[in-house]
Order: sequence, then C-alpha cells, then structure tokens
Amino acid sequence: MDTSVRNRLIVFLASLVLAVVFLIPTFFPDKFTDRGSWISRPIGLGLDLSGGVHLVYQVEGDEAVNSQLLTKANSIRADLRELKIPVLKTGLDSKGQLEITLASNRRTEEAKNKIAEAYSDLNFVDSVPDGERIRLVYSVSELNREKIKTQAMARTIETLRNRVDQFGVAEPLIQKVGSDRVMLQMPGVQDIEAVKRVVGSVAKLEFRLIPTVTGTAGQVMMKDRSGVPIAVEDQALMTGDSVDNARVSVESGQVEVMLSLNSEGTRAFRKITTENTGRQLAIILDNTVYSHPSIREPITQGSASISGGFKIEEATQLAIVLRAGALPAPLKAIEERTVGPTLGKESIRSGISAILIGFVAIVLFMIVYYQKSGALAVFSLFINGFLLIAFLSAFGATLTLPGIAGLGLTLGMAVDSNVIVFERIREELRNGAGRDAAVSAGFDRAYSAIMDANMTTLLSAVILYFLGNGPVRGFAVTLSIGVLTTVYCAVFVSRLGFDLLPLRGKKELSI
Amino acid sequence: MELISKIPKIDFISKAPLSMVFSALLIVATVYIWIARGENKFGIDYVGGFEYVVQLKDGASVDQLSAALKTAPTKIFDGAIIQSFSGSTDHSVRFSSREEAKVVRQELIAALKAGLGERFEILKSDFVGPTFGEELKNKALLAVVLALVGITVYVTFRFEFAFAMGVLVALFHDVIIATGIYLWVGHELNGAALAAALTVIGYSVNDTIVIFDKVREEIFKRKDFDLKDLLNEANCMMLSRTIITTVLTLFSALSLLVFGGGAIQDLSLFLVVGIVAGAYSTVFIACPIVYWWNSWRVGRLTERVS
Repeated sequence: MDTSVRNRLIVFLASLVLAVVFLIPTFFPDKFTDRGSWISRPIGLGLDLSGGVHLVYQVEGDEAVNSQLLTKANSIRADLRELKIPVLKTGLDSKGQLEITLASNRRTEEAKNKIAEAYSDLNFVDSVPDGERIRLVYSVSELNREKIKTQAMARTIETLRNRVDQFGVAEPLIQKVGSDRVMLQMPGVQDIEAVKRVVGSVAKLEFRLIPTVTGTAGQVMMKDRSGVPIAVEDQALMTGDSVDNARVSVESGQVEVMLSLNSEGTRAFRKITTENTGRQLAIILDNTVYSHPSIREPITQGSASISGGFKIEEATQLAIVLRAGALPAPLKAIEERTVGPTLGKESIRSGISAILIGFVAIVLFMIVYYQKSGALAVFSLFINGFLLIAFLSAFGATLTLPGIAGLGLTLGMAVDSNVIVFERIREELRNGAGRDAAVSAGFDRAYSAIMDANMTTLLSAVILYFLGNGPVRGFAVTLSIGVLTTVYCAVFVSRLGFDLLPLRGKKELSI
Repeated sequence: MELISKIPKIDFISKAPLSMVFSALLIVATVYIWIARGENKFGIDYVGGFEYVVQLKDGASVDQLSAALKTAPTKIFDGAIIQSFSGSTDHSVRFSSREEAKVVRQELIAALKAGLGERFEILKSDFVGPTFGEELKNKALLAVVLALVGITVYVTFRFEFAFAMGVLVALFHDVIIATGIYLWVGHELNGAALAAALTVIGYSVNDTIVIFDKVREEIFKRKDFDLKDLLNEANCMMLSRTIITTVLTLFSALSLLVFGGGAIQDLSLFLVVGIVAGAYSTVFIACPIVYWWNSWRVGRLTERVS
C-alpha cells in the first residue's frame, strides 16, 4: 500500500475511534450522569423534546436603582435626625430623582453638607422652597445607575439559582441573556405558575407597625391578602435581610411559616417588641399585609412566624423564597413556554422516521444511479451521520426538534458533494481520461465548488445561531457541525475509498 | 445509468425574459399575500401573544373547540385563530391579549372544560411579550439581510461582482417566492421559517456556484468566448448535476415535510419551495442577470481574463 493511502487510512480510523469515544456517554447515559467525568456528555434533549418550562425574565434594573435610593433616603433621614434636622418626607419624583423634604428651611445648608459628605454618590440637583419647607432633589450618575443595575443582575441570578435549587428539578438551566435578562429552563416541570411564584416573586419581607391613630402623617395604605385596605407606618423596622432560615410548621391544623432570625435580626426584633409592647406589628410581603399580630411581650429568642390561612403548598413556596432571599428588582416575564411530556416523544418518533425515509430514498438513488461508487457515497454518508452525532455529543449540544430536521437535511445536502465529484469524474472519463486520472481530476476540480457550497451554508447557519431564538438555534448547531463533517466525508473519506477499493464494474470504474 | 446521456443545447439566456415575467408574477402574488395576510402572517414569536397546542380526544371536533372559545364569557379569545396540523388531533389556538399569562391560562382551561368536558389536553403553551416579539422580528430581518449580504460578499470575493449580482437577485427571488407560498398555504412566519429561509439562502446558492465555477474554468481554458454561449453551455453541461443534487436534497426535505410533523412541517415546507425555486433561479435568473450586468458594464469579464 502506498504510504499516502496508508496514512490517510490511519487518520480515518482514528477519527472513527474518536467518534466512538465521544459517543460512549450517549449510549450509556446512566453511567455518565455527572459532568466532567468524560470528555463528552450524553446528547441531551432540548426543552421542546423533553417537556418542561422555559421562561425569559426581564430584570427591572431601574426598580433596583429606585429601591436603593429609598434605602438611602431612610439612612439620610436617620442621619439628619441625629443633627436634629427633621425630615418631613422622602420619595422619588417622576424622573427617578430622590426628593427629601425638610420641615424647615433654616438649616438647609447644614443638611446639604451632611448629605454631600456622607453620600458622595448622590449629585445635588436642585432645592425647591415650599413655604416654610424646602425640598432637596438628588440624582445618581449614569455610571452609578449602571453599576447598581449590574450588581442587581448578578444578585438576581444568584438568588434565582438558590430558589431553583430548592425547587428540586434535575438539570435546571439559568442563563444571563444580554445585559438585563435571565433565561430559565426547567425540564420535566409542568406547573409554570408554581415556578413563577417561587422564582419570579420579589419576596420583599418587611415588618412595620400599625399606627395607633389612623389618618396622620407617616402612614401608607396597603392591602391584606383578601384585598381589604389597611394603614401601616411608612417606615419598615426590619426587613427580610434579618431572616436566617424559614420553615413550614403545622400546629393544630394552622399552617405557619416560622422564621429564625440572624443575630442582628434577633437584636432588632427584641428592641422592636420591647419598645412597642401592646401595639400591632404588620408582617408584609411584597406590599401585601399577611398578618398583624399584637405584640404581647418582648420577644428575645429570635424567631417570628407568618400566618395567614396558608395551604401547605403555598407555605412551602413562601419558605423557599424567604430562605433564598429577596430579589433586588422585580422580574417581568417576557417569554413563557411550557411543553407537555407527550408532545416531545411523538415529535422524536416522527422526526426520526422522516429522516430514515429520506435517507432510504437517497441510498436507493445513489446505488442505482452511481452503482459501486454510489455505494461508497452511501458509506461515506453513514460515516457523516455518525461523526455528526459524535460531535454533537462532544460539544455537549442538545437536540431540539428543528435540530432533528437539521440532521435529515444535512444528509440530503451532504450527498450533493458526492454528486458533484461523481459527475465530474464521469465528465473526465467521457473526455477519455483513465480511471485514476479521472478520479484524481474529479476530486481536485470539484474541491472548490464543494468548499464554496459548504461555506455559504456555514455562513447562514452561524448567523442563525447568533440571531435566532430558542430551538432553531439547535438547527443552526446541527447544520454547522454537519457542514464540517460533510466536507471531511466528501473530500477525504470518499477519496480514500476510491484509492483503496477497485470499485470495478463492467468498465474500469463503476460510476 | 445517466439522466441526460447527451449534453443538450438549450439557449436558456434567450428564454430569460419569459422566465423573468413568470418570476415577477410570483413576486407580485407574494406581495399581495403579504399585504392581505396583515398582522396575522407573523406567529407569536414575532408579534407577541399566546399560543396553545390543544389535543382533542374521544372524538371532540374542531368545531366544538371553536364553539367552546366563542361561547366563553371572557373577551380574551375573541380574535383567536385555530390552526390544525394535517392528519393530527393537535390544534393550535393563537390570540393576543393584555391579560396576564396566569389569567389567560385559567380562562382557557375553564372555556375548554365548559365546551369539551375532559376531552382535551393542553400539550404546549407559549407566551411572548409584544416588545420582545418585535425585537425578535427585527433580529430575524437582520439575520436574513446579513446572510444575503454575507453571501454576496463571499461570491464577489471568490468570483466577480457580476456573478455576485446574479446570486443576490436569485437569492432574493428564492426567499420571496418561498415566503409567498408558505404564507399562501396558511402558515405563519416564525422561528422555523427563519431557520428555513437562512438554509435556503445558504443552500440555493450552491447550484449557482457550481455553474459559475464551470464558467470560470472555461473562461480560463478558452482564448475567445462569448459569455452568453458560455453561460448556456455551462448550464447545459451541469444540467444533470443541478437536477440530481436538487432532487436528492428534496428527498430529505419532502420526507421531513410529509412525515416530520409539528414544527418540522413549517420548516420543511419553506425548504421544499426554496430548494425548487433555487434550482430554477440558478438557470433562469442568476445566469441571465450575470450576462445582462456584464453587457451593461461592457465586457468586464473579458477584460479581466485577457
């Protein structure tokens, strides 16, 4: 055997061995469940085939900025109180700027200096006199806004991970999309509303006092769970940050969520309950008052409970979100998809039979039309399909429904390359070339057309991958990898076949 | 075995005016369908809204499904479009609503229960927000434009600008006609159609490149040539190749169309039309354009080579 042929045969066999190695996990998925234990993973099914929930959330970063500003407002209020400068109210205007209204305009400069000194990230915009009062307006620089948003995004993803982990689903996927979106996929889950309750709620927990006299300043109206309005103080005494753990407890048929507070929370709670014995303390989650028990005595052991006529399931979900912590910003679902468990199975079955039927038609045509050379093309097509699946596994790609279509289509397009070569060889034979010369010229001259044809397909597939959405990206992946395996099979494998096998028929070459 | 045993002599270029009129009519028809279908030509991927795939069981009929939605007390389903997959008990219900996804789902289940009892199952549900849909639509459009430009640039780089012009016009032609027929049979433009459009763009240029490759080879071989004769000759020489490659790819695409089901059907219908249009446009659109462009720019190809 000629050394060139021998070397190429070795390369070919090596590529087959490599493909087999890549495919081991796909054939024995049970033994390769953990990532990283092998160089490839079993080919996973996309959500459109496995069934499950797909959500894309928009993270409302502006709200994160607003809520940070309001937190700042509270600490400014406290700082100014120490200087005995009374703050009448704080809030945000329509442009998202912070407004601090001082009860009197006599010590304005002092207040401004204090704020400038302690809150360097706030920019003074304007002071608006209002009779005796004065309103100071502050803004945050664009750079700081962006910083807050970036942090909010990072914390959102972290919190979602925590929450999703507690949901107990195999292989959930949480992915940042662009600068302000999160994609979440949970295979096998059907109840999208439950997912949204656990994953998508902000879960801002607050403890506020109920005012003893209604209608005075420093109060806001909220609603309880049945929608009845209820007045609460406008300042939160304690928030969800003080919660260390949360669990469900059922006592004499009453479902409650028990909160254990961290040391800081325990101290704060002791102070609150000592100073306000006899008053009602509202427990508020996402601006809804869950309960407002009376404080009978100081609570020192650092635990609190939320009751409110829960169902067990509801209480469990609430405990999860409280454990995982609040989101820095509200989430808005911009894409929600659920796929039932049966749809995918039907799709896989019909998709695979469609591929096989198309493949059989191609095989028959090639063998009838190109005889032994056609059989070689069919062999190279088999290798192509095999390598394609192996590389999908090596890249850890998931198979989607359009991806299956991509697989079938790749086989149909791959055989084109063989046809281009074969027709060229026939032309050379007609022009009187001998067998080897015709084969050699056929491959050499067809080479550029094959490359061009596959490059343009690759170009389209790559564009589709970057600009397409959802399962069609799976199609782009199969098509792209298919282009690579096709070039290899058409140029290298088929050529090797011609060099290795006589492929004789009635004439010197059966083509 | 040979499809065409003797290379024919056909003057494709001279027949071009006729084929151009034919294609122009198809394109006008596409524009008409595009306008006539209004907003409902886009699936929820590109305009936002809700889509549910409902499987009907125990002999429940589409009419009952449609009646169940019409008699529902809510206004949510007023503009609902029901689409059935051929040979399947699965039906897609599509509508837009400002209501929250949770409310919509509850109302739908209530309406179906009232009309069909237990004889249904929701297989799949999709919601896409309107702004997100708009964004996806723009991205899809950008993808198509980028692919067209990308391939034109590639062909210019590998061949000549005159060839790239032929390819660009032919690709536009293929995508427009495939879109027209796709819309005409009642499908809607969605992610699957985008995938198919890009595949058509990437694939249908192949035949054209094979012909151009042949033309280039002959230009280098001959001292003296007439571009028109050369294009005709190349088309004739490559005719069996063009037909065979097209037919083989059609085997795959048709089999996906007939047996694939669901989203695969959308994708493969577009593909089948695109592949056929691609083979036709190679011979009847791309080559004449190259010839005309070159005659207009007075024999640039000839200068290059001599």
